[in-house]
Amino acid sequence: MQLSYTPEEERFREEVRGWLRANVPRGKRPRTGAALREYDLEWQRRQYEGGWAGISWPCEYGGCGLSLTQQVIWYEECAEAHAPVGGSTFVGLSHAGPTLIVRGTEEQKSFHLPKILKGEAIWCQGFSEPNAGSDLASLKTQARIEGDNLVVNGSKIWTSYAAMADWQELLVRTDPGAQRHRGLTWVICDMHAPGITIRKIPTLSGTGNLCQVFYDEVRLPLGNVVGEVNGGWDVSMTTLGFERGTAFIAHQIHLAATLEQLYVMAHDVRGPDGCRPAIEDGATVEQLLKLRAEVAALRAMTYLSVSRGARQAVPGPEGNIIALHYAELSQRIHAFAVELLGNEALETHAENPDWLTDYLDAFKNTIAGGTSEIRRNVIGERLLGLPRGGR
Amino acid sequence: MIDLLPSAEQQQIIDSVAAFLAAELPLARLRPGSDGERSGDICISAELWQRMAGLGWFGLGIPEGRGGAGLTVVEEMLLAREVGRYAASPAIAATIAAAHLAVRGDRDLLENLVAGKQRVAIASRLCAGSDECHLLDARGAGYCLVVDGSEARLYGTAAFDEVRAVISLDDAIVLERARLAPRVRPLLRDAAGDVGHRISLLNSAQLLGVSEAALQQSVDYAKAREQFGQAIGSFQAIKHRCADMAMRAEAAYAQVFFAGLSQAGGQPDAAYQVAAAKVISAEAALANSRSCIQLHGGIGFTAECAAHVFLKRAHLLGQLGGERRWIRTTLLSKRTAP
Repeated sequence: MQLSYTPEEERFREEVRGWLRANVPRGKRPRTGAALREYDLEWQRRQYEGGWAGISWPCEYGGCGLSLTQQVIWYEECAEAHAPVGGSTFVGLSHAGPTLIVRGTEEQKSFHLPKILKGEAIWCQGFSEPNAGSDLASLKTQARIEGDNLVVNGSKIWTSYAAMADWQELLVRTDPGAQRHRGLTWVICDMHAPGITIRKIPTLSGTGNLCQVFYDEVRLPLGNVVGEVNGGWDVSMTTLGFERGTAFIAHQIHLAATLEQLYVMAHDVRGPDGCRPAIEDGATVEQLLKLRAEVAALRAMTYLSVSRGARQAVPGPEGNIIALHYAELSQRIHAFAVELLGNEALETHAENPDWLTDYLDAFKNTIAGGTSEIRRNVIGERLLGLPRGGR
Repeated sequence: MIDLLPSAEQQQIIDSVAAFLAAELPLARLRPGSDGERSGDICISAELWQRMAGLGWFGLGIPEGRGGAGLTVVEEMLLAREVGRYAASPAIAATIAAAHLAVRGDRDLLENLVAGKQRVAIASRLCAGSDECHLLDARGAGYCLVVDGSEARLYGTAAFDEVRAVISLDDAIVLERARLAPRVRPLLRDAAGDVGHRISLLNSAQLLGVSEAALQQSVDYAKAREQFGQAIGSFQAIKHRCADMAMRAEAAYAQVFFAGLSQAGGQPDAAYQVAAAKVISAEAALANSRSCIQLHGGIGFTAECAAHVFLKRAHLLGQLGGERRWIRTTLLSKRTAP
């Protein structure tokens, strides 16, 4: 066990810090639309020009090929510098790109990877369907082969940023006779292809870029298939050995900063008795110190993930533990914020809009990317070795 | 380099301690006999204590020049974690921590502690600032360690009067109540936090061990026990409970050893991390042991199942005296964003 940085790593931190200070975009990130797309792509372009694009990608594909510890430093400094994290470039950088690197053809790689790194293309994901959520393998969006094309009909849902995306990683059923995960194909879908319509889905927080996508006789060249036709499940489950979830560190640090804001707020707002500041209220204090301890533990858990990442050839199911813990803790922290606000939480005004939006938005954390229930199944079965059972 | 996993050398320490405890102090020792009664003497014998010393347990973190192994608090914590799993005596951790007081003050005492000729018990104030103390496994101990947050003091057992045995919630230890005589001076004292943080870390490591043992026992049972024609671990109601236990144990492991490394490396926020480790590990041990009882059903309610041992040890270690006020103050202090 150790926890120390070498002089080279400290120098690396200085370099990153200096570059970020000069280059992090100022001004608030737009919530949606063309302005959001331009903001995210501009930040990506700037990282590319500065030599910081694809920090976990191997060098031979234009990435930085940073060590795990360097990635940790990069994300810590990003959080420190209030750099934008995730957003509409996330799927391209952290999922579609890495999948192409491992499973794509030379043509696919040489066409798409530079566009992702240079901030010229936005990707979205097309996996979930109205009737295939947690049970992804039951998906029904069909594609038949006609000549050199796949012809797609059906619908995908919960697709973030579909309305501003250029490309989609799309999972379709190419063999209607095959059961479940057999007979699926992973194909690159051009989001501007004829036959695609997009419906924006309003969310309970009033924000977000969720969409449903409809496919009506959408023709995609067979050359866009990644892996084998009918071998798509395998591609979607590709273990991205170099993609170790270090991007998560930024979320963890952001959550820690959020709690520290609440610590300050607890000194400023009145507590439940209407007279003394909240920080003098016993129940509030109990919650605050418990949350502070939990945030400390979340940080330690990210370091534990990194430690595992350095030893395992492929990431194990342990990642579900931290994802689950983060999701539930983020909800507790935002609920605490609303509690501190008291009656002020019932109206949105200039001082509190983010607290309310973030509180409502946090409900997605235990749903998106695998519900907490599914994650608990995975932890039980793959980590603890409990037998599979009815769902 | 960030590494929160044990090195090969550290794994050897874990394996050696675990093998010793499994052979000499198995949880089965706490099971009632056929007459329903527990065996009378549950204190670690002088002979067994010396064998622990012979394995180097009490000098792991003591400098090599002073008769120790020259390792860090992290290795001591790895040992304490196994001690927690077997609900072995908290005097083991107290003796390890007290040896660090002796390093600076008392060469003979250090020698005796490391050699297993003397042992130290924890004296835990009933509430912060009170002279009323609980003595944990003090029979056979010549000294008691009193911890008030960052401050640690070592007293001879003669400093305590009105000693009387009480019935312990955790019946794997001998519990006594006593009064620390007024104005008696400690034999040794450390106010800098080294020993205070160390004993807190060793307690947290034991709590981590409790939470992990409760998890392990629950998972084993969920795989073996069948109802409705299948292992109960296949049911989500059970599986999700186990997943929650795993999540708590993982959080506790990460925070406890992160705090240990912060302390060993002299990080400026070490006290904060130590306090957070105590909160997280205490909660994990309590919640996991409660879950462990429920998950076992009827057998979990009996004294034949170890689940209650974990619960009671979680209460015992979670309570330790004046530490609570210190944890509160430390975790509520102003700090720069982590």
